[in-house]
Order: sequence, then C-alpha cells, then structure tokens
Amino acid sequence: MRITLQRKTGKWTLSEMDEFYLALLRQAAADVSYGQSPEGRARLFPPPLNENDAILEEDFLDDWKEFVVDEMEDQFTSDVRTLRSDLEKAKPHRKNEGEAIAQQRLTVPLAHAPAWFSALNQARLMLDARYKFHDEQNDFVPEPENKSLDEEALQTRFTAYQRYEFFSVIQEWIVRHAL
Amino acid sequence: MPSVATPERKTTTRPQEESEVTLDTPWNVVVHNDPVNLMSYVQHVIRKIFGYPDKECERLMLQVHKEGRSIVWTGARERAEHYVHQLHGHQLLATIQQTE
Repeated sequence: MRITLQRKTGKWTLSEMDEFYLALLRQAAADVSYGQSPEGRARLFPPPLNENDAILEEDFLDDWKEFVVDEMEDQFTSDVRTLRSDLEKAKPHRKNEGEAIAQQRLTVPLAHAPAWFSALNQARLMLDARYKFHDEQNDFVPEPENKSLDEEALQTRFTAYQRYEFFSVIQEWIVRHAL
Repeated sequence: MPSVATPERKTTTRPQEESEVTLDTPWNVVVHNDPVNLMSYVQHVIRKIFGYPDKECERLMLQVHKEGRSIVWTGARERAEHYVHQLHGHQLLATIQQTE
C-alpha cells in the first residue's frame, strides 16, 4: 500500500492511493464530530486564561465565548467541509493498463492546504481526546488504563490510532510542502 | 518720590491635578505543549503569526516541547489577546498571563 504526494503549480496531488487510504481520509470528517462533546469542545476551544486568572475574569471569558469561539467554530466547520468536498473529487486511475485494481488520484488546490491541515488536525485532536492516546505527562499510552475494554473496543481504539498516525503523515507533508 | 502702591497679592490655589501615570503591566502570550500538534507545525505557526526568524521559532518550539510552555510574546493586553486568538485559530494551546 502506498500513496504519492506531489506539489505542482497552484495545486497538490495525492495519487497511487489505495482505496483504503481514501476511506481513512473520509473518516476524518466523522472523527471531528467528537468536537460536539464537552471534552472535545474543551480541547478545540480552550480558555485564553489559566484557571487562576479565569476566576477573576468572568466577563472577559463570556465575551471570548460569544465572539471568538463562534468565529473559530465557523472556521473549523468550513475547513472540514472543504476536505469533504475535495475528497468527493477523487478519481480512479491505473498506472499500467493491465492493473486489475484501480488506485485513486486526487488534485487539491494549494489554497485548500490550510483547510486540509486544520480538518486533519481537528480529527487527531478529537481522536486523542476520545481514546486517550496520551497520559497527563503527554506520554503515549499503548494500551488504555481501563483494562475492562473488550476485544472489540481495543480493536476500535487500535484502528483509531492508525488513522491518527496516517493523518499525521499527511499533515507533516502539508506543513513542509504546501503551507 | 511718588509713592508706589503695593499691589494686592492674590493667592490662588491651583487645583491639584491627579498626575499619577499608571503604566499597564505587560502580558505574556504563553504557548503550552500538547501531544498532538506536530513540532514542525508549532514552529510554522509561531513564524506565521509573530514573524520571528527561523532560528528563534525553532528555539521557542523546542522550549514548548521540552519545558511544556514558552513565552512567545510580551506586551499590551489587547494585542496579547489578539495573538492568543490567532494561536487558538491554529488549534494550539495558548493563554495570556500578566507578567509578575
């Protein structure tokens, strides 16, 4: 399985992409939905003051929620919409005519790179918040502390971590070549 | 010799002006570490928002990564709020904090 990323004039392409990777990218939009949970919102829209200062500045925090958070939420939603819309334009292609299984090719305007990064980052933030991939010291937790998870839940967590890592690979390329 | 009348001296009391000038205590913009945001991205965002040279952006990013936080800017409160707004817009954890 592979994927090729290339920057061209005014655009970038994802090609030689297996259907599996395209499915993972589509899943990002769903992963972001955890942002509607209180825990997800707390990470996407953190307070601008630490806890001690926040106690003294309730009015400021109310204004922040009303004006800043609303604006950011609109922006983040728009970024996910851009990703979803671009993914719909993926087309099958065969590098060699005889190949039985077609791979996917996708061309993305360079101007969409920040939206892609934002959407994939939201997905990773929400996956981390939901499955608790890191402890309080920010160290990676290979297995959840809650040992009562059944096999299916462990598998779900593992596949979520695969997406988390895959998105980070795409993001790293975007930072270096497209932003 | 003509006599010179001594002019009556008037004493006026000037109202005391409240001339004490209070300088605002500066505020820090603090970026906090989180395990999700890529190091390359944190460096990119600091460069984009503050326009620092690459070396300085790298130093600040590494300070966030190793020490858990870094003061990336200090100045007036309003501007500090603006910077934190921008940092949050890039999904970084950041707060304003009054200098001690």
